[in-house]
Amino acid sequence: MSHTLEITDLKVHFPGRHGAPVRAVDGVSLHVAAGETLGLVGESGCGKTTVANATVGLQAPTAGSVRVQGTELAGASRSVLRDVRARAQMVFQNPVTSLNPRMTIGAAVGEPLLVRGRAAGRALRDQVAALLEEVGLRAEHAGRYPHQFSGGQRQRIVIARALALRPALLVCDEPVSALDVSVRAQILNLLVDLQARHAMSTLFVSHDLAVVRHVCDRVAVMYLGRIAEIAPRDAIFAAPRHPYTRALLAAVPEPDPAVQRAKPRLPLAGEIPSPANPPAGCRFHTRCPIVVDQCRHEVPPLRRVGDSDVACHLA
Amino acid sequence: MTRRISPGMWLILALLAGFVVAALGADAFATHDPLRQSLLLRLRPPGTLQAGRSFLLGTDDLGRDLLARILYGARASLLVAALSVSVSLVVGTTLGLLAGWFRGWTAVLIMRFVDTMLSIPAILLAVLTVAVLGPGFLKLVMVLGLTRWPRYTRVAYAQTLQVATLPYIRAAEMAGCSAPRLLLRHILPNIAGPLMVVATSEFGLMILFEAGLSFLGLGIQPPYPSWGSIMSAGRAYVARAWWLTVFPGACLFVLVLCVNVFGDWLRDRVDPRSRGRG
Repeated sequence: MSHTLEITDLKVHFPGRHGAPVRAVDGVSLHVAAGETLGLVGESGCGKTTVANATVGLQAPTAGSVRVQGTELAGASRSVLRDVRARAQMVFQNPVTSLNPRMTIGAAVGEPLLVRGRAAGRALRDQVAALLEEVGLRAEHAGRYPHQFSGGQRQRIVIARALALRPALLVCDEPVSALDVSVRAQILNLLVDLQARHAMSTLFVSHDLAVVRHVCDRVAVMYLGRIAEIAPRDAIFAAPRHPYTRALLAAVPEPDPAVQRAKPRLPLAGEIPSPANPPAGCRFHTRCPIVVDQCRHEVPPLRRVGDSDVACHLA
Repeated sequence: MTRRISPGMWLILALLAGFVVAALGADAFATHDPLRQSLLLRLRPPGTLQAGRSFLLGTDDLGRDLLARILYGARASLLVAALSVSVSLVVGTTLGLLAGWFRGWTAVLIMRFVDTMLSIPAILLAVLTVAVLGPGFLKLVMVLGLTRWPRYTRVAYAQTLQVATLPYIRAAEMAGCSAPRLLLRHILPNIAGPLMVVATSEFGLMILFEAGLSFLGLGIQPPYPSWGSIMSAGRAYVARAWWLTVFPGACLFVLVLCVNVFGDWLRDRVDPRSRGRG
């Protein structure tokens, strides 16, 4: 019960252009325990960002439940959402557009504290300075504007702002995918350090399995609005159970060419189907290499296989 | 961010500064009382020296010094334009921000009102209003200000729709900002550039409207000078005293030209995409 984040049967449907609603998220259940990092991976368009937005109340659920430290977000009032956002903060994908260009970074980092009456004046300045130093910037940077910083530095600023309220849950939506490869590792290490130091729970959304492997305790794989598989990191990378997970892992390039050549290749045929008109039965059956007749009719529930929870009839 | 300012632009900026200084310092520059009449000194040509007094730009049909009247007229023009632009900027921007933020029915109501306002010729509405309410400085400002806000609303609405989707607005929501703070602290500063461009081009129009209404006798009332009313009075003497229409007309032309060139220049600086185009 005492999970930091508990999502139960979450559905988020958007009005479609031609009548049928787009089922961006269609029955997702997951949890993030205290101090744990859960990776949420999948192709673009699979609904992972929508799940992230619903977690912090930026997207109202169509159905289902989202609880942060026991507080229900579905149908919550404005003031409840505001309180929840003090405990669940977000790091956005693109650090260029997630900072107000007309605001100094000191004002941006201090804003959550200021508008919630947590600090003002000298105390606020001191806290902002401490936050900037915590993410590897200098206190005297506070008076500068976002355009005076590099992408990596801006993401540090965004992280400092998210940390200002000492949230119990940090939602990172592709926090490094807009950054140069050379600074990705620095930002990831910073996130891992901060997460350990503050014992935060983290929901880490990414399409990059190498990144997820580096930072996550458990990994959830999403496909077309549903969870395909959730498992501890070592289980999912050593023994993927769902054919979609296997295909994703097979697509990760290996640094060693010899290993790369020896790797089994499982290219997926076809395109990801439209979430406005998802396939019946298992959503993956149109592209699954091991599809059987049952998959076309019966929706596979998540069930426990070894250490993993897998939504596949054949696992 | 410093870009070089061309010599031509320096000239425009200097002229604009000159008009502002002349208007603010009219008391110091005018060697005569603009209201003091002298029937003995009627319609003197520019450069007249008489009775120990010099009239650089000549005198009008009541013997008043034209230079002094033009200086005080500049003050009236700039003051009316500045105040009415401020009124319409505040009203238009507020409505545009609200429409762009709340969208839905609020936006439909506000934007249909904007369309309605834009379909009424502003000068006609101003003439009607003054005709009904009577002339007066404050009424002139309010009439101009309250008829010319829809352009700001359109720009503010479009810009707000665009900015409101940016992640830093989501981030400000996450921070716990109230709606007024979101609008004033996060959205307004980021849509201010295009609004200032509109305000500048409106400023030129307001100067023309003021002159036009005063010319028709609906603006600044005699005996107080305005370029429009000076020209209106001078119209009767255009054959005998050309200076009464030419000097205020030239001032009006140069001032509005400077304001418009300044507006184009500002637009290029605010929106780099339009730079280098005709």
